[in-house]
Amino acid sequence: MKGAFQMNIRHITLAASFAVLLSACGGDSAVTEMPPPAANTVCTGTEATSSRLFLQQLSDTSVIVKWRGDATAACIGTSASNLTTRVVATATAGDHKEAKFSGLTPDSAYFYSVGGAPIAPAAQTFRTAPTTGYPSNDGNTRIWVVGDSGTAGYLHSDTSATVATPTAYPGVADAVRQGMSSFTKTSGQAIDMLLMLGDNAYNNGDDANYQAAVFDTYKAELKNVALWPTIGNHEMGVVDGSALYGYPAGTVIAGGLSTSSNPNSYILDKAAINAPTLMPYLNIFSTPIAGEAGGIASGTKQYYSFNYGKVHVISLDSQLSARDTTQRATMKAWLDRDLADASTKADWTIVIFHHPPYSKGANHDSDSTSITLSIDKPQIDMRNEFVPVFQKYGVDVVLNGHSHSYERSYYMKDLYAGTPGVVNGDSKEFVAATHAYGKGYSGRTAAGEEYKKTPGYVVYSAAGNGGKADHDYGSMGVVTEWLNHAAHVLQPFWNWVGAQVAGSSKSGADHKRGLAIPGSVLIDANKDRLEVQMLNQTGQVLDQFLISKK
Amino acid sequence: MLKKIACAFLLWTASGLTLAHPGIHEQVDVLNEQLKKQPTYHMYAQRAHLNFEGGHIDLALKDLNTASKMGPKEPLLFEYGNVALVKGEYAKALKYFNQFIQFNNKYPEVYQARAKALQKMGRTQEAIQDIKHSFQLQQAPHPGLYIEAAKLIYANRSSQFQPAVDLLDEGIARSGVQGQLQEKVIELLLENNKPALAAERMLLLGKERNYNVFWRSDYAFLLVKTGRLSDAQNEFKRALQETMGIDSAPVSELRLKINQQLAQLK
Repeated sequence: MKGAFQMNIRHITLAASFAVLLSACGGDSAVTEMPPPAANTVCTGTEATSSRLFLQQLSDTSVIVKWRGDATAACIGTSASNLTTRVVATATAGDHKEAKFSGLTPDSAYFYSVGGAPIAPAAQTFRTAPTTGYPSNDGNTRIWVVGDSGTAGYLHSDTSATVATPTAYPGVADAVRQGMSSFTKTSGQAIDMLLMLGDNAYNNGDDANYQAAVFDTYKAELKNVALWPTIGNHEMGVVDGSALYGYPAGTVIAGGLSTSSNPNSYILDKAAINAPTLMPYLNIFSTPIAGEAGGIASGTKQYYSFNYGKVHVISLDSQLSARDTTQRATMKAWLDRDLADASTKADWTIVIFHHPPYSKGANHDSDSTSITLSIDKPQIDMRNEFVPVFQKYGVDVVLNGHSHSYERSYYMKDLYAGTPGVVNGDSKEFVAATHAYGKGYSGRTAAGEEYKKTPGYVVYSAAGNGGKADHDYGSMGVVTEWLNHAAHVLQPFWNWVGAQVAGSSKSGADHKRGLAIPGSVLIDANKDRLEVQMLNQTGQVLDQFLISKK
Repeated sequence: MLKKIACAFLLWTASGLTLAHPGIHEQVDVLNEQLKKQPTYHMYAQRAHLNFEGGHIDLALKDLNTASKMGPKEPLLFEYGNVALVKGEYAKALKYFNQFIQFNNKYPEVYQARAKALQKMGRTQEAIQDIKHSFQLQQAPHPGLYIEAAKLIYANRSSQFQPAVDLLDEGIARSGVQGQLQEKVIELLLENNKPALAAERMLLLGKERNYNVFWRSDYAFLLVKTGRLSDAQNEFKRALQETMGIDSAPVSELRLKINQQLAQLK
């Protein structure tokens, strides 16, 4: 396989070099004797309008172009002005169309049109993944991660898609997006993929929420890179909260409170309460079910993995599968197989799911004993059942959302139930000398405390600040607990929290191990280094750590 | 109307209401306060479910009885059945589930619950039918549901081993993925002392597991169990060769395990 691929690359390189050489030599004969380009008889249509256009299951040799609109075909090619391959789309659930292109060349630029046009509109281009197990041509893979970013469709009324109500967080997600964009432009390297950590579309994860929060907000990025999501609690619709909230019956619809493990139990609003449907997430996204983009087949769209050169990414389902004992065990068994496979070919492994195993975010304290039987129970189960597997197979970074702030741990191990001296894996059980690499290294380059890749150690980050940041400690009860998980690294910009809570009666003075500031995470993975940076809305780096192989 | 109430109740109970995401006990506290002010059928029904989830079966039953005096009993029958099931009153549970299905026959979970009662009563074939029916009501059943169903059917009785395998095979055919369902088949085959069949099944998993060294090692271990020691040795050696140049900790551990096994085979 390796030999075949290398030969293929060499062949392409030689051909390209020859073409460049001809061009560079500038021989008139070489130009004048070239035949005119043949008329394109394959792609003869015109570009069609799509209300949403995005890329799914992007691998080293294939991609799905997915859209909503009237077009029934898509074209692709290596030249924007001459698309040469046409695929008739398949109509899929949720009023979508999909065109899957296979047999593509790894790590190569492609251009595409929707509707069959021979010329690709500006910006409709993507790059295939590097061959699994091989580094990218430019040596780096850049991953953009946003958590709980779905606020663009989050209406004040907290009801489903009542369009007359203004959004509760105007422009925050877009500002975070612009922060990333500004950073990547300055650094001269674009992102290669987008990971979403769940709660992708407030408040209910319905189609209208997704249109506003995902397809309108990240329109530019979605044309160029594949979006790989995970399921958050707000992907599972609403329940009628009248009884508990004490309001007159039927007046309150609350989202994000489902504890069902059944994706078919989605309800959008009270009118649909007797007609549950499949959650829209599973219609919107074409996540892999059979290992279509590398990794081991999971048999369900709810959790999956994929390869991108030497990087392996896993998206687990902490919202549905994690709530049922057998489904959770099945997901864990799959994870074991998948990570084993990844350990034979990947340099770096990144895991995403929604519920953070370690967090002191407002309302989502991973220590709370009261969450044992509530909607946040997955925080405990993911910690005590999945963290051991992450450690066993050398996962490097675990990213979660749910808490609307930014927290990230030391490079750590063994903080879960059953390890020596640990009963629950709670914050108070963390002992830096025992659990943290270097007895508490920050991982920061500037401090000379970079991490050396070490079996069993993992960094965990709760980064649900992609669309809003908490301004209060919520239901934590004690303000000093907020953003103060002992396993989390001290944040030099912690005092920004003080500014964030200005006007609130709560003091930010005690919040030192997290940032209540909107932002996102950018990961750069190359042969020897994995660097993770947290960016704010202006693209400023507020936190950074590095795991090095050398 | 009754059906609407039942569905609302089922969805309600499946969703577990919370206020600012507290725990189940806080939810019960909130309900207690509400019940003091203005007791309603739905509040008792909701508290019954919360008590059931919290393991307070008798309190759950008490709330169900109170609710049934205030409103229709039909929507509560599924929860009544679950209470009876937990208490080991299988005939009673079956009666409740039957009654509920008369009232709402589109709810997959009730068929899975009734299958549990039927299984406990030794009515395996009917249990299997219920499980299959529950899968028909779902768009894409989670692989874990098939495994749960297989466990239920098998329940450590070798006479029910083949129906469990058949069900898992149905799941494989439906999803097009071998995955954990095939692994469960292998587990059942080994439990029933059929290592040769297990090894054949492991071969079917090879492609999905990219024929990687972990898969090859698993296959070789199964060959040892079948007594095909020479074949096993060859597979172990091939796996060992394939680990060359891979320096990850899991692969290093596997290498050690394979070497130990090869030493034993000598």
